[in-house]
Amino acid sequence: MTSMSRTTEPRAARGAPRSAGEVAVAKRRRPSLWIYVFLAPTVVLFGMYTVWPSISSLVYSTLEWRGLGLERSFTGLENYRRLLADPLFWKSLWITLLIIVVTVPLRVTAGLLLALVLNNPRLPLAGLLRTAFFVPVVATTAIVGFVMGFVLDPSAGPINEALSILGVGPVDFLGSSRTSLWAVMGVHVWKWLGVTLIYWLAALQTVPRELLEAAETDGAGPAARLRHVTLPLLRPFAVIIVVLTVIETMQIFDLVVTMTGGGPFFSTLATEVYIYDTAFGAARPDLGYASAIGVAFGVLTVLLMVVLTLVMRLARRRQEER
Amino acid sequence: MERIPRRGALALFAAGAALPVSGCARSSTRGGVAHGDAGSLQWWDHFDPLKSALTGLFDEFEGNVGVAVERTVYNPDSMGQALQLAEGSDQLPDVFTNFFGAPSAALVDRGTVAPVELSDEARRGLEGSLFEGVHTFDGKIFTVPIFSHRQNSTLTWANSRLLEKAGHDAENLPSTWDDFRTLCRDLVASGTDHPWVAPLAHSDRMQEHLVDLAQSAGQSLAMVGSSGNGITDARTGDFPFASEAFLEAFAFLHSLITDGFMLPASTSLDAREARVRWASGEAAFFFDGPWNAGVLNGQFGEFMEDVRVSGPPSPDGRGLTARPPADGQFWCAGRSQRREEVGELFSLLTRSEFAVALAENMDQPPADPHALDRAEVPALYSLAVRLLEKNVRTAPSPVVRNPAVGSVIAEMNDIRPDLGDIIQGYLGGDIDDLGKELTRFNDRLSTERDRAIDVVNDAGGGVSVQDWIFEEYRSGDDFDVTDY
Repeated sequence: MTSMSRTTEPRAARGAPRSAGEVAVAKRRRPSLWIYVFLAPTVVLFGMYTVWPSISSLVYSTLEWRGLGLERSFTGLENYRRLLADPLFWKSLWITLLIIVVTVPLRVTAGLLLALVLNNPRLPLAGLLRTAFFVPVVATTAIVGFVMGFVLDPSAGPINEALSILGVGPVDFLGSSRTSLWAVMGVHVWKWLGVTLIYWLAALQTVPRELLEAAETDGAGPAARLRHVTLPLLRPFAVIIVVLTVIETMQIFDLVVTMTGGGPFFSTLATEVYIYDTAFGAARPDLGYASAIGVAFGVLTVLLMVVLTLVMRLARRRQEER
Repeated sequence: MERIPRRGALALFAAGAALPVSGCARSSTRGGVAHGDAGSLQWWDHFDPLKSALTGLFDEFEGNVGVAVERTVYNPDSMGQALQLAEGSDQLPDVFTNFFGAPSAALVDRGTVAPVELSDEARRGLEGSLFEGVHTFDGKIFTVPIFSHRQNSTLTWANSRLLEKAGHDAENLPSTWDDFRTLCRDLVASGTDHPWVAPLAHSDRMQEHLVDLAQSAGQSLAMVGSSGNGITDARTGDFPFASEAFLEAFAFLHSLITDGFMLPASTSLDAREARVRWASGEAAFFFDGPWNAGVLNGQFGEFMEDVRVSGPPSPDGRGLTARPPADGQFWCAGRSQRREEVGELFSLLTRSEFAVALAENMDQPPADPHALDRAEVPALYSLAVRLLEKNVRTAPSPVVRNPAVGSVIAEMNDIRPDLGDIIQGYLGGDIDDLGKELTRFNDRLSTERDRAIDVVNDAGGGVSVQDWIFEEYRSGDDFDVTDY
């Protein structure tokens, strides 16, 4: 309101002397140069590393360009037509979707359960356990993938050694197309569970202790407190945790490449790996087509996020209406 | 503080962002090369084992010409990517190895590489070993072969201790497929649970094994490079992957798996990992090229005395394979400002001293077969190279007959699943009807080649399927430069 009255103020009146208080208020409202100074790094870096590559990918996706030489010919939507008829693209999308559908619920649920346990102030060695669950997160993914190759080795890996004691196996976890994707998903969940755990632990810190104590005073047991106090208060966080976990899961490139390289026989060919293979790994690099796959995958990712957010919002609204 | 209008601030940010971004962008005016020390000649390759041979050469070159060579060694996996990025930003080095994934003719057409002037002595030394469309284009020399084409990746490397434990004479390795399987059975009986290790996850290497085995089974091939796009039946010009010889080769490899001879971990091993497993005694046999001796000598020296080598097993026991004329390994960038110096450097590559140094690196065998006589190398490496000299023939190359064939192959899109994928799928149990899959692969390759021929001919290429046909060539023969 104040600003409106100021803009409709007669021009002559603007030059009139103002009180010291008015000047201070006006100064506070002026965008300071410092705002832009502090924004600059983000704007510049975001422009260079997100906006610029996104626009470039869009342009490249309309070209026939092998990445060889500077010859590029404009082909319009040809790469997108090719993509729609490419069974490997659809297979890679299906694999990516399957990874999301299997691992995200696992990570979110297991992370929540672990967080509930580790959030108990009476749990001995809680700090140590939290660290233990977080260690795989900070381990370099390439090293994790490499080490897991040994761990899951069908000839001499410790898991198969253990299975042989039970009279099972050997199981060719990474070398068989029947098991490779499940093995990759298992390692992915193990490696990134710590992140989801930290999200939930942070969310749990927002649950007021007084509420829990009041519920306890009213005779609510642990299960009732969890169901009627903690979980309802955590619900808003669930939306963002699920969205973040889905995004993280779609970026599974490094783990797949180091564990299976997308094989055997395309069984772990996540879309990111297919994009890389097409752009750089193929005998005949095809940057134009790889860009088209990248753009399509980006659009589908955004759509998935939008749908997910809408579904979550709808569910929350219905809950509130009850 | 003076107020900055929001639009002004955004314009400022945009300008700030544009500066570094434009710095990253390709300059169309500056003919650039990779920037190292000012005045040095930039050299990129992926031959890590050539360090000592090249270092001596570069020192001599610097002494003669006064220009230092700055060498960067890439992993083969990342070399192609580095070249793509370098070319996109006009920063190709003066010399590089062709990891663009395109035949050399395509690089010449696009001006990515330039001809070089060799010394008279070098020209004399190369007489008879330069092929038009491979090393020379329109009569100009672009590259020189430093490695022999008489090599393959499917020598049989054996652990003599395990063979002797099975009661077998380690000096007499199996030469036929049946002997190989029989010995595997004996090895299993003597306690070597899985006698053979293979890099099944390394589909390119498995493809090389398959092609070698098919050739040893009598398949005559015309070849451009080693990918499926460039391998055709020499007598018909068709893609040959559903032929009897290929099916037999598939069946041989498959039998090693179904009989339980393959180390189970093979399904997720590449060639390096498979070599380590074999050298550690987990398996008795490993197929690999002559460079295996060099790697073993460097990394598993104590194992060398237990190693024996022979040619690829084959149905008839002869183990004959063939390769087309060897490509040149090093190329001068089209925009290099140091083409004269590169010519002098390439001249040094043709000298016998370099060939000897190359042999002593124990990687691929040198182009000069006499270099081995003067090189100080373990007997195992000498034996491997001698076996190859004896048993690897010169295959015809359609590119030598008509360099425009290279443009056709460069134009062809990859067909997936490719031969390597099919091998992995079949041996891993994902493909049931192999014949149908291979026939489909042949058909798709033929269709793609026809399309590529049309594209190249529309641009004035002058190519036909006849360029792929060498009716007179027979498996086991050499197809020399005079036969074209």
